[in-house]
Amino acid sequence: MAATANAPELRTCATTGFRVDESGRRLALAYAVAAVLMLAAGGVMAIFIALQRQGLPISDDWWYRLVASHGATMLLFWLLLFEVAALYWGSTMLLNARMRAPRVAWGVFGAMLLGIALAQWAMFSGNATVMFTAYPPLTAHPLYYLGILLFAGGVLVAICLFFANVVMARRERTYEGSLPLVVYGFAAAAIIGVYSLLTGAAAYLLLFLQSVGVLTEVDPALYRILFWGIGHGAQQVNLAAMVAVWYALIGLTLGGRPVNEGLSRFAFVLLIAFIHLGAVHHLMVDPGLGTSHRIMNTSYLLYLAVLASLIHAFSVPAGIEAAQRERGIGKGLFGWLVRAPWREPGFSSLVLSVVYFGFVAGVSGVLMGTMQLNMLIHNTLFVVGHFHATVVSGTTLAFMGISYYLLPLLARRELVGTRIARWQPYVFAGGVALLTLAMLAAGQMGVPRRVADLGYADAPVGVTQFGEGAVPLMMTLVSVGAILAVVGGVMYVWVMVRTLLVGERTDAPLANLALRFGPTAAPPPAPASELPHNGLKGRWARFEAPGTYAMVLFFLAWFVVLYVVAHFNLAQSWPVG
Amino acid sequence: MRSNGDFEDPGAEPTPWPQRVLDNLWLLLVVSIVVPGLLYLAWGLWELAELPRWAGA
Repeated sequence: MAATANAPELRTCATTGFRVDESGRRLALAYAVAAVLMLAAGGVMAIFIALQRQGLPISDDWWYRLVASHGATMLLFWLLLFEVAALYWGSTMLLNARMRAPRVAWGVFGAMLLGIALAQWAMFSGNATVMFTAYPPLTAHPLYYLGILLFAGGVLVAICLFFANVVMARRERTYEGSLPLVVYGFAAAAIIGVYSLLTGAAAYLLLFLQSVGVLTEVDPALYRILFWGIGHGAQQVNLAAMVAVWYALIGLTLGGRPVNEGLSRFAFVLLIAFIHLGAVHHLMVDPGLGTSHRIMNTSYLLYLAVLASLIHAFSVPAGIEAAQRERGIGKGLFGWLVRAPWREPGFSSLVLSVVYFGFVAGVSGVLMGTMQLNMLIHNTLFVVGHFHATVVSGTTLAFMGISYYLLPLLARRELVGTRIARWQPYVFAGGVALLTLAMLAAGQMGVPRRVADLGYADAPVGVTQFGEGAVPLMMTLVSVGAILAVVGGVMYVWVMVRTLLVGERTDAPLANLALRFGPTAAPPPAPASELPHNGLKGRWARFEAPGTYAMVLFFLAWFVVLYVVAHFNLAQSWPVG
Repeated sequence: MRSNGDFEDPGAEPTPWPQRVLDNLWLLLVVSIVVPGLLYLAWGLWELAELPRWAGA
């Protein structure tokens, strides 16, 4: 990447060496702060939702309001606001480029905040207890749909501004050749977001028109197929952005890079082309869609996107291993991992996010995408466990990890609460692990999702099976996990807020973190090819990342075992002959 | 992520076509809309349109 002579007004960051445009910096900071506030709000709701299961006196009506708002706040507002911050950061700071149309960007930010306020008012006032999916014939107040449309439209404009930044940066030659991989990953997220937001806008526009009386009805099947364009697609924006953040964290915390950058780019392209097809796995029991449509999209074509995830699942740990071996750190197959910087919040967040996303979130998602297996867990707590594993253990943890670097850089303040930051990823990941594993297990036992009273006390015929056996224990573990995760969330928000409010102002932030990136970072001692494989001999020494190779083999074995177990369970449920 | 100090070699060879394809964000944008637009959306809507109407509707 070449430094540009065309943008003399940009400031050079003393920490990273990048040229910084103040408009882009302020915008990215504003979005990041708004995102953190949304996360804090969603966490407060999570506590009440979880404790209701343990007897906290919350009426069913309010429980549904909380669940509806928790879903929108976390899945849409927190994640997409943070992703817009990342898009502006990536397309300005990482490209040494300027922010285009900053006034438009600020106007869009205001419209998005207005949209959030409208949607939250509708949900908390009991005028939009329609859950995240908002399936018709459930109806909500028009301002709910308008609020979501304002927010989604704002993200779409932000994506357009991201592309404008990239195109103009290219034209002004602030970078040469291909986009840096991290920005390329953000571009993939933005591209995936376009289709997602367009289909989502179409779905919500239909309901908005119905709510104001322009349409007499909206076909539920039509709505569902449109809705899952954004319902699933927005999570794939998260996926691409999360992988880009993984690569950024390798660079920041280890000074590393992927072992084959071209392969990583190809994996992003596979995600771009095929990940949206996974939306069909939400429609596995939809009566309108034919079997061919459902099976072709989920059991065949989606595996091209799964291949992309597998490539990243190899490339990221291999990048970590290669960076460590370049510096001669660690002996044997896993010494590089043992002697990794586990006290750095960015590194621990990265590893915990990668491991949990791969071993739990990804595998459970692929299982759910198999039509026959989906029948066993459809609309159970298993689904909730799966998407908490993806967007909380995976995406949110990765975003928390990069925040420890991004917010101090954007705010030009020193990080406050480094000791808390070092522990936070472990506390948060531990809580979410307990939460999600208990949810997955409860779902296997048939516990339904989105039901306030598992005893169905107001129903003509009560249900007793969810108060027996291991179900109460699992539901208790869900609550304990939620509390622990919220404690981790409070630690994160505390560090962020303290940094923003009382952090020491500086032009060279991150002095209290071990950064291996930028002009002040020490270079690797020697090229990788001149280093021995740290004591490894025989066949393992032939590989550039032998430890990762061994871990990947273990992961594949884990995948096979879970697949066999899932099909065994299926055979027990539906005996043939 | 690369730092500020990396410069491209001005005498470098032309970019290989696979890399040019990967670098073409507009092409990728079209792919991201066309593939799910046809396989998920259009196919799905066609199947819904083919459903027999209930006689009482």
